[in-house]
Order: sequence, then structure tokens, then C-alpha cells
Amino acid sequence: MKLSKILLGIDRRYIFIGVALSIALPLLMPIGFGTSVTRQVQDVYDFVENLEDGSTVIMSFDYEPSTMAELDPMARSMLKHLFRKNARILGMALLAGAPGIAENVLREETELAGREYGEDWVFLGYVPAPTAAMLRIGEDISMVYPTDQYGTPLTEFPVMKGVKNYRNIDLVISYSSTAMPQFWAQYAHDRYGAPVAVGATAVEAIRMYPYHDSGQIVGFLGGLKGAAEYESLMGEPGEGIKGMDAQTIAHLFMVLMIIIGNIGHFAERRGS
Amino acid sequence: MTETLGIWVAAILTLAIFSFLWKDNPLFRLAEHLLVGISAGYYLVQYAYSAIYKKLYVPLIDQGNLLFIGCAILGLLVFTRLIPKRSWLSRYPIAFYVAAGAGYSIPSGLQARVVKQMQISMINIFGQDTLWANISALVLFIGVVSVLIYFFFSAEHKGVLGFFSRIGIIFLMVGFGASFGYTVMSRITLLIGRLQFILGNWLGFL
Amino acid sequence: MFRRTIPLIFAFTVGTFMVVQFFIPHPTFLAIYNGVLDWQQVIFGFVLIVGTLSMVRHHIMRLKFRKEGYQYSMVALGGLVCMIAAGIYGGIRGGPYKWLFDYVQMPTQASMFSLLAFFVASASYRAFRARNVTATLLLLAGVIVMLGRVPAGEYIRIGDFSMREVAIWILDYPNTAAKRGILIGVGLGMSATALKIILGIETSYLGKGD
Repeated sequence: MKLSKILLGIDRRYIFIGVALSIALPLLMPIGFGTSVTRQVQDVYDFVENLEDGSTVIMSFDYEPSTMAELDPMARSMLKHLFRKNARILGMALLAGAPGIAENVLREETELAGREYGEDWVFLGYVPAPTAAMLRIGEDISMVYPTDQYGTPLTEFPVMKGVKNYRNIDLVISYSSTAMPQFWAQYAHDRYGAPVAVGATAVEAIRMYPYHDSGQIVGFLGGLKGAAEYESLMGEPGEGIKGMDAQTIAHLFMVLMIIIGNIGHFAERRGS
Repeated sequence: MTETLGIWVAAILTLAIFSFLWKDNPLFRLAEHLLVGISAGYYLVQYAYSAIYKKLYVPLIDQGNLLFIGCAILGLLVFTRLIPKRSWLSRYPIAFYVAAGAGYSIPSGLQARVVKQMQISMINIFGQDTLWANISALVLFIGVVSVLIYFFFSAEHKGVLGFFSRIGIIFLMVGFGASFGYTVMSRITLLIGRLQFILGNWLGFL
Repeated sequence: MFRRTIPLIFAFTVGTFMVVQFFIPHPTFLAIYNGVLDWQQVIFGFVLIVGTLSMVRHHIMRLKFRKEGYQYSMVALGGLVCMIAAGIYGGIRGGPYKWLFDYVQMPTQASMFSLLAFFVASASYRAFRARNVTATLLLLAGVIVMLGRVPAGEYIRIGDFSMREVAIWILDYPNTAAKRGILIGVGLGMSATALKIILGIETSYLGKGD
């Protein structure tokens, strides 16, 4: 049988099995690859590390369950870091599918850190029209969120004391699977001067390079690798580092399939 | 108990979705339509609570801010979209929303996406610390300029313009290749998440 | 007149105001600007509700006329009713509403998107070919980034450099240049389109017909 026919004739179900095994086996039998840190993640880490004790931070969960595998680990890791700095956390969501995810991340991590709702953190909830919300927070956050997600007026929370707009916010972090971080940079940073850090899916992270280069964002975490880098800086391995073995083997498998496909293609062109 | 039940329900739905890899089947379509219904219900509750209750009912009825009457009228006009003979009325709230967004996006967008990006591109390409940094800065500058030249379609891409346009294509291809690499990374991660759930939370192997 | 002209005049007024207010920090302008943003949020909420109701209507029609697959529409509508009932009677702070989100919506939605991993592998094998110079460049950049951005990239070397270092350089320089060029182009295009909307040249958002 011709080489090209063999190489180009692999049934896609075998490829599916290969993908599944290349991920499942490293999860079951971890290899323990380390991870190095990139400049973009280091910049975010350094910024958070240099925050004053008790700084106020907005964490905007702008993603849906479809991408939580990429963004949950970085949100959790950064939340741990922020609590080390005794930061006051204002959680919010600008996508309708995000509140449920935000609640899970915030509740679990704040419980682990022994933080009290209303004193150390609050979940403001979901509002529609994200760009209008970003701009409105620049004038008065209580007009965007008159209450928290559960209907309690913001004035009843000590954590909201002295917080009116971006001038009282020390950092905005957007975790997003969409172009939302670009709008945070455009409105929160460029218009109102708020520092913005980004946690993005890998698909969106590739678009963040120009924003980081120009200083419009302090830095960004890209995908599970970004989460793994942040966890290694924190010295607290989590889902990011755990997933790196599987990510590595799966990438090697992908590259192998691309190489096989191309060898088959060239063999076919040569007639063998 | 509810958590255990939930994990089993989640696992069955996950496997139902994965069954599509073999072929389209009723189990997959059942899970797919269940997702459609449940998520539509979730979103409707969120929209009603956050937009209608918190941002309209509370300011207008509880706080008595009569300026929100106009907002309520425009909001209700959106529903005329569902009535073919009266759908033209929905043009008013949509015109308001779209035009407001267009208005504030012009100065901000130009500042963030054009001016700031052009500003950072005007770097001192011979003033970096090392030779390699100077070369990299030159690559960055040539890349930005050539990509912009490629997108200039008002003149034919020949001569000097054509040369730089082809350089622009090279940079675009490298950029798209990098995007592809990151896209693969992203998709693989999503599957890692699901397999971690199946092998860990459900089967308890991790 | 009321069907097209007045909405366009309305759009022009609102749009022009929102451009001008960027440069005028006067309290009156600021108050109107804030009001417009508040109204935008409410109207968008209604738009989202109408969008969701359109989808619901589609399934109701499918069920009503017993079109192919109408049984699945029953499942969709059943799920919708359950979720709304859970939200209204159990509240959004936990209870059945949260349970359905955590154990039905979240895993199903995540699983849907995780299927892409399989398809991207199959599609790459089938279609990602080094047919010409530009395709080869794209392929090489993709492979370098894929290998360089995982821990294995430290151990694979190209000359004196590790795959990781090459990937980082590609991302920091040629990729940034390309994305910046696209970003500037998109910024100019978005501003031009926004201006066309405000001036009434672009009217597709109003829909077809008179």
C-alpha cells in the first residue's frame, strides 16, 4: 500500500482516541514537568505583590462555563495572592453565564482563606451592557450596582466604604474569554487611569500582546499555562500546574499528527 | 447526597455530549437541547433580575426617579420586535442603544486602538540595550508598518508598496500561526478540564 | 417619517452627544452622559430578554406544528420552565437554581466546547499543509508556539536557542507587530463604522423594510 494512503488514511476516530489518551494518561500518571515564567505573567505578579495592604481590587468574571477550565485556575491563584495582601475584593460579572462560576470561585477561595462576606469581599453580581457598565463605574459604582447580587444595599458593606469609582480602585482584573479585556483597557485604563490586569483564554491572550507592550494593561495570564506560571510564582501548585503534563503530551501528539499529515501530503505529490 | 447526584448527572451529560464523537445520536441531541433550555432559563432569570428589577424597578418605583419612565418606555418598545406589524417601533430603543455605543466608542477607540498603539510603535529602534534588542525593535517597527501597508487597498500593491505589502503578509502569517498555536492550547485545556472531572470528581482516580 | 427618519435623527442626536461629552467635563453633560449609560443598560437587558424569547418561540412553533425533532423542543422548553421556576421559587442564591447551573448547565456547556479539542486535532491532520511559502510560515509559527509554550519547549532546541525562547521571541515581536497592525486597522474601521451609524449612512441595525 502506498505510503501516502497509509499516512493520509487515518480514521478520525483513532485521532480522537489519541487526543483523549494523550490527555488522560498524563493526568493518571503525572510526569512532573516544571514551568518557566514569562514577562507578561511576572508583571502581573509583581504588580499584585507591590499592592499596599488592604488595596481594593475589582475581579470581573467575564466568562462562561465553556472556558472555565482555562480561567478558573488563574482566578483562584490570583485570589489567593490578593488575600495574602489583605486586598478587598469586589467581585462582579459582565456576562450572564458568569455569576454562577464567580460565586463558586469566590465562595470556595474565601472560605479557605477565612475571609468574611461584606468585610473582606462582596459579590456585586451581573449587569448587562458591559461597556456601559465599565464607563459608569468610572463615575459612580453604586449607580451600576445599587445592591450586591443578593439585593443588599452596598452601603451596608464595610468593604465598600470609600469606594466610589476607579479613583478608589487599585487594580481591575478581568478574566475573560471574549474581547472584554480590550474594553477594560480602553475604558477603565485609558479613560479613567485604572490599572488593568488580564486573565484571558489562550485564544484571547494572543491579542493582549500589543496592549501589554503599550502599557495599557499591567500584564496578562494566557490560558492554563498562564495559570501554571502564576501558581509557580506563588509556590502553590494548583490545577494549572497539574494540567501542564497533559497539555505537553497533547501538544506533542498534535504536532505529530500535523507532521504525519504533511509527510503524507508530500508523498502523495511525489506519487509514492 | 445532592452533590453525589449532581456529579452523576453531570458525568452522564458529559458522556452524552462526548457520544457525538462517534456519531450524532438521540442522547447527544437530548443533552444539547437540555442545555439550550436550562441556559435560556438561567439567562432569562439573570436578565430579569439584574436589568429589569435592579436597574429599572428599583430606581423608578422604589426610589421614585421619574427619569426612568422614558427608559421603561424604550425598554417595552423592544418587545414590539416580536410583533411583525409593529416591529418598526423597536427601532427607537435599538437606535438609542447602538448610537450611544457608537458615540462613546469613537474617541475612546481611537485613543486606545490607534493613538496609543501608534505612539508605542514610534520607538527608538537604535537606542536599545543590546544589538539583538535593536534588531527585535526594528523587526517590530517594520512589522507594524508593513501590516498597515498590506491593509491599504486604495492603491494597487505593486512596486515599493507591493514589496512592503508582501513583507506584511509574512508578518500576518507568523501572527496567524501563533494564533493557531494558542487556539490549539485553548481547546486542549477545555478537554483537560472535562477529563479531570470525569477521572477525578466522578471516578475518583485523581 | 416615524419608521425611519425619526429613529435616525434620534440616533444622530444621541451619538453626537456621546462623542462630544468625551471632551466636555461640565456637570450637566456628565449628568446626561450618566443617564444615557443607565438607560443603555436597561434597554440592553430588554433586548437580551427578547432575544431569548425569540429562541423560545422557535421551539414552541416546532412543537406546535410537530416539525422534525419536536420532541427535543419539549426537552428544551421543559428545561427552560424548570430553571425559571427554580429561580423564582428557590431564589438565585443557591437551591435548585444553583444546582441546575452547577450540575446541568456548567458540565454540558463545558463538554460542548471541549469537543473542539478533538476536531482541531482531526482538522489539523487533514488540512494543515505546507503548500506554499506563506502556509509553511504559518505552520512553522504554529508548531513553534505549540511546542514552545509548554514545558517540553525547554528541552527541544533549535541551534543555540530552546523552542521556548524562539516561541517567546515570535510572540513578543512578529506576532505583536501583526496584532498591532490589525488593532490599528480595526480601531480605524470601528471608528469609521461608528461615525457612519451616527450620521445615518449605516442603517443595517434598523432592519429591513420601511
